[in-house]
Amino acid sequence: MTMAERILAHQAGRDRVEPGEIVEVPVGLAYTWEGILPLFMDDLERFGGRIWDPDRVLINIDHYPAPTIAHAESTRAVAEFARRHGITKFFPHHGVPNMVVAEQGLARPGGVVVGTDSHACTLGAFGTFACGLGHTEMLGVFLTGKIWFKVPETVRFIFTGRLPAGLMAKDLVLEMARRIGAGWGNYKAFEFTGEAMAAMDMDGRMVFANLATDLAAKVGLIAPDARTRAYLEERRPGYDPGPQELWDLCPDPGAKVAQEIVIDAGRLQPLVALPGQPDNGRPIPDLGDVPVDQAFIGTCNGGRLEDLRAAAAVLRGRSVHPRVRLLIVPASQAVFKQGLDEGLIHVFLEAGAVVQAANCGPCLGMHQGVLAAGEVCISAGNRNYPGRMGARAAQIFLGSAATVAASAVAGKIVDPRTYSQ
Amino acid sequence: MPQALLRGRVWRFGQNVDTDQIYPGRFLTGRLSPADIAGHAMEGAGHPRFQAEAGPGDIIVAGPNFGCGSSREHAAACLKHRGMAAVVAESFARIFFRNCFAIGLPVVECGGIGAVPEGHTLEVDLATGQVRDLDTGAAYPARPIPGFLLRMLDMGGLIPLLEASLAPPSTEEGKE
Repeated sequence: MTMAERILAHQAGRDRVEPGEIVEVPVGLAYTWEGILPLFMDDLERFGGRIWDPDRVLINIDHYPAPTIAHAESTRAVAEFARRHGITKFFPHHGVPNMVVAEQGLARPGGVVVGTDSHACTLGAFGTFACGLGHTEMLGVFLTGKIWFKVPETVRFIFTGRLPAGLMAKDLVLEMARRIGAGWGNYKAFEFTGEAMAAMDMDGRMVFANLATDLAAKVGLIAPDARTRAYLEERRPGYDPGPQELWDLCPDPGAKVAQEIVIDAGRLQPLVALPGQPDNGRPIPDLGDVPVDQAFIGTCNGGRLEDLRAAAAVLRGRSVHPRVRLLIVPASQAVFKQGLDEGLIHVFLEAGAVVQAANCGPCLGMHQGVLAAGEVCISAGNRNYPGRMGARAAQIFLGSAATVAASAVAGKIVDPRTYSQ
Repeated sequence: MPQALLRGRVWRFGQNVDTDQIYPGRFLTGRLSPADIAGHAMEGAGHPRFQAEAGPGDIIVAGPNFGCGSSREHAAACLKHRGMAAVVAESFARIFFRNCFAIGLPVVECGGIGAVPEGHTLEVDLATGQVRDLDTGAAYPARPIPGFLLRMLDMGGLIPLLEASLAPPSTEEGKE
């Protein structure tokens, strides 16, 4: 069986499952945030207000501090809800939700995690069957602790070779997206394998799992290994890995997959995705002149420590171009703090960047860097749909954190290797 | 409660229509009424007439990957509250797809449906999966909806289903 099939079979208490079958599985962790919980809190009370297992619920406060009065009120209501229901996994201002779940060690290999967060799939980097839900389905989970899934077919990506110097996981995932197209995933489970994947640390792996949803996949799975365990143990002293059998729910070598796609990391150039869709990848050398107004490093796809380090390597001793606003929003408080300890934040401030509190930031077009009509943004995030970050007539290009930093210095999109140190 | 056989005027959209086009992110905050939410339906999609003219019983037709992007249920809710009888698309993004069933909005995957001209009348049989353009007579092959999701639509969504199946609060959770 493939990894998705093995996890679902195990969780459903079955010997095996086939793609296309409907299974019902228990949920290991259900998470939500202050923008969504108020939408189903009242319904939960109508059902008697009992959560199936408050210990398996995590509530994140994402957009902090509150940008509006309405926001402040929902944040307060959510904090009160957590208190009333004895939900101890309550995280105000710790960062973007899937990052918080990862850092708290709550994405268990072989487990099932659902969140009112389309990028819950990021947790697939830990070998977790994780995906997003809307709030009515989350109400169902809060009440019953179970969720149904149609077992997806699997597509296996094999990344061979090694990333060239100066390139990042983002360049490779944008190349993958370019090859398959945004709607191609059509409910499949993506498995990410190969020597280039094994060589990546968890920050890099999460970049792949994260983009699964934007390529229409159900989940993006990477087999857990020693790096996975090390990441979890570093962040959670005394981390209990749980039963070994869950760590072993990796794909059977001969497992039948719908398709196998081999991508050579060794021959990659840095890419950006042109505005509109994440699959519009183009090698930067082929791009031509694209001046930028805003450069954004952050989000669940480009705000981790690896991204901050890469950006600092470019920005050290340089200045942000006068026409550019460089916004740096660490994906979590832990990343922010680590960045401080390593002197990275100082480098950013010296260069003239604006560093903001860990959260989803300007990615959704709500605050902290909304775009006006006609503006161009180069973003380390994963969404460049029309109007995503503000005006519909603004343009968003996607690239690696190194590309974003280099472009912020140059005033236009450039190959990050022109500023390598 | 949706009827098994739907007929409605077609509004056409393209491929990869994401949830920011269906329901822009800046309208997510605050306590919104169904009417508020309905008013923003497709507001980010750039269609010249939908917002002013679309009404109850109409059907949205679209290309592949309709509803991609965010998990926001508002994207499904705004179409339901606007009175859309169904969305028929070449394929759907899965979170959006599930959200539609959860709130009782029929969605049908249908190959080639992107060819149906705007303004035509489409007939959709949810029970058999037959889709027909009544203006041209052309039939389009649709993927049948699994039985348990048809039941969910029949009940009006997941919440009515939960109300029917969950025991009162004093006892343990029931099965879905």
